[in-house]
Parts: sequence; structure tokens; C-alpha cells
Amino acid sequence: MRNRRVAAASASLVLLSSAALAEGPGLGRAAAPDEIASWDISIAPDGAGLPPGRGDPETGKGGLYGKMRRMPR
Amino acid sequence: MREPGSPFVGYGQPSRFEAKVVRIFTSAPGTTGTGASRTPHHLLNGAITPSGLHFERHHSGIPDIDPDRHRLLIHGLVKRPLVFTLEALARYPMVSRIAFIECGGNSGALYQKNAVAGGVQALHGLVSCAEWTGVRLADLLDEAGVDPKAQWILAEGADAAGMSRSVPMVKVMDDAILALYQNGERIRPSNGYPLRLLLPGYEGNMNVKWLRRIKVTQGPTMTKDETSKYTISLPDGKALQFVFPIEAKSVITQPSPGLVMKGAGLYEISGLAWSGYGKIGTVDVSADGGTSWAPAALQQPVLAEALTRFRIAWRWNGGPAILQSRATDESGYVQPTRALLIAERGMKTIYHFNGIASWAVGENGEVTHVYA
Repeated sequence: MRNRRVAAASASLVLLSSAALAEGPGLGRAAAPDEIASWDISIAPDGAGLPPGRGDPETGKGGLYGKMRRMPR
Repeated sequence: MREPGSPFVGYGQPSRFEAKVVRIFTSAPGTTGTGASRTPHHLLNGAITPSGLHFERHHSGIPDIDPDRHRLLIHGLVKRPLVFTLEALARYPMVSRIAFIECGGNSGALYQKNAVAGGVQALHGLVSCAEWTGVRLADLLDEAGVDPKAQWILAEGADAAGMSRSVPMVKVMDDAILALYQNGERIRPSNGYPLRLLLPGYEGNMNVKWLRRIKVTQGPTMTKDETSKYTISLPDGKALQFVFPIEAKSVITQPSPGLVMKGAGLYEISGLAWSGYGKIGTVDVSADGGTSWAPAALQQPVLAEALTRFRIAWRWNGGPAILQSRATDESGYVQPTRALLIAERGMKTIYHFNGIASWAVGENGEVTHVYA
């Protein structure tokens, strides 16, 4: 039982020390790569994560930027 | 009372005579709930903020999230990317702690040249304190298996803004909590239902609400809210980035503007002090604009990264007075005067104002915000 203190409170109930619980119940489900890709919207400082395409500030001014009257604060 | 009282209700509400104890809020034009609401500290006492009065700062309103459909993804530099349901998270070992959350922009009006008319709610109402209960993020990251070269995480909310912030791994592994409960009940939608990141002592914006994604990264992601926003612009054109813990600070809540003193006599001066660097050590109070100071009593227990109530008796002689409080935290850091803070930081920012605030008491008993 290495370091694991087990107290039998009754025949059917076993209480474990907090050390025993430290390993965690392990209830996370494995995330699939395509699932992660659909979820991951953040763009790294080096541009990793950007969708395919190209642009520059001048082009942007007339396009998307022109439609943005108010940026969310 | 000679008549039987009212019947039971499923969820209790304050007395109808307390209807004025509410948050005040402003929303950006053309948006839904993009703005902030502020805690009425002048009408509260103790150190815990009722959940319905906890301040709010939303970047795109309050999402309506079904906990049975909500998922948390942990991915990036981990051995095993994982998805968690709320039901699964609720089975992990839980911890509780009392912690303040303060918006990085709280008290920002005090950077302005002239003292803005307002009270503790309008000027300093973006700070609140609650008991938060949830799962240690470190436990979940251990399950996912963090790559040794990962030094940061990105935490992202499920609101329409996808509000996200980068957090150093050292803080995450130290005391970050994925909070499910606030003051004993499930977190209110306005504070991140069903899941909120709690980073005790760190500026409010980093305590990401409606948490849906944790990406483990090597460096910071440099999101909008840590580059163009929540950085401190200095007089020389440079900016301080990643100013995380809230510096020691205090404010007098009673008396304060909106509360009228009714004649000379004995009053209790009371207020709140807090520090993102641990416990409050002492709070000194002045009634003469900082010429003389006396130590206030601190309400026990004094907890690290939690609001601490201070109190001191004051005999008002009916003449003009200027009330100030000055907090010192356990690190020995002393809350600076406004003049000292501005000498260092300038006035180009709205963030992390922790200078000493001043309330002037007039002979008519009215209390106003002044610089002194």
C-alpha cells in the first residue's frame, strides 16, 4: 500500500487519504486532431494558426476595416 | 407584528427595503452587455461580496450556457489533449478559497487631471470578493501531461468575444482554480457560469469567465487584451505589458460620497484593503489629508489575496476633514500617494491605479471626492 492510508469506515465504504486522490480520477476524454482544429481560434505571434490567404494594411483599410465602425472594447 | 408573515420562497431575496443596493452599469453604444457593472461598496459591510452584486466586465455580453453541453478543451504542448465535461470536472478533488477579483481598470478615473465627481461605487466599484470553489488546474494539466518547454497557457472564454489571456505556467501550477462555485452556489452567469478561471491576486481580466479552452504554449499568445488593452502606457511612449498582480490598495467605504454625515459626533470609518501580493499587513487612516495617521483595526481573518475590512473610530468635530486610507501589505509595500504614482506612471493609462484616494467631509456633512 506504499504510503497509502486506507481507513475502512464500514464493510462497504473505503476512505482514501488525500495522497491517494492526488493521482486524479482521469476523466478527460482524448481530443481528436480535427476536433482541436475546429476549436482552436487563437493566432500565435508568429502567425501560426492563420487561415490561408494574404493581405496588407492598405488592402484591409478599404475592405474589412471600412466595415468596422466600432471595435469591441 | 401581529399578523402572520409571508410564506416560504425557493430562493431568498433581499428585503424590499434594500432596493437601492444595486450595481450601476454602463454598456457601450450599439452593444449588448459590453461594459462594466460596479459593486455598491458604500452600502455593504464585511469582506464578502454578495454574488448578485459582484462587479462585472463583459467584452460581448453574458453567454447563456447549458452546462450539459459545455466542454473544456486542454490542448497545445501536452502529451494527451483532453476534453472535459462539467460532470467530469465535478468529480475531481475540490478546493475553496476566498479571493478578490479587481478589474485592471478599477479606479482608472483617478489618473484624470481633475477629481471626477463620484463615490466608491462609481470610482472603485470594479473590485469584489467571493469564496470560489473548484478544481486545481494543475491536476488537469498533470493528466494531460505538460511538455517541459511549455511556459505559458492561453485561457479562452466561450463568450462571443472569445476573450482570451495568456498566463504564466508558474502561476497556473501554483494556485489556479477552475471555479465551479461562487459563495457556495454555482457561479452566476455574470461571473462565468459554468466555469471560470481563478488566478488569485491577478488582474480581473485574466480570470477568464465561461472558460472553454486552455492551450498550453511556449510563450504568450499576445491577444488583444494583453497588447492594445490592459497594458500601462508610460509617459516616454513605452508601455508596461503583463502587469499581473494587483498592487496593495485600500479605499474608505464609509463615510464616502452619497452618505451624508449627520452632525458632529462619533463615527466609524470603515473600508476595504487588498493586495495581489499576499495579506494586508496594516491599514492607516488619516482625517487630515495625510498629515497624521492612525492604525485601523483589521477584521479577522486576514487572508492572502482577499478583501480585508478595516475599521477605526473617529470623533468628527463638525469641521472640514479629508479622509484617506493607506494599506501596507505583508511584503512591506506601501500604497503610494496619487502624486507619487503619477510621477512614476504618468497619466496616459487607466490601468492599475492604486494610489491613495481622498474623501472631503464638508461642514454640511456632505462627502465628496477630491485630490489631496
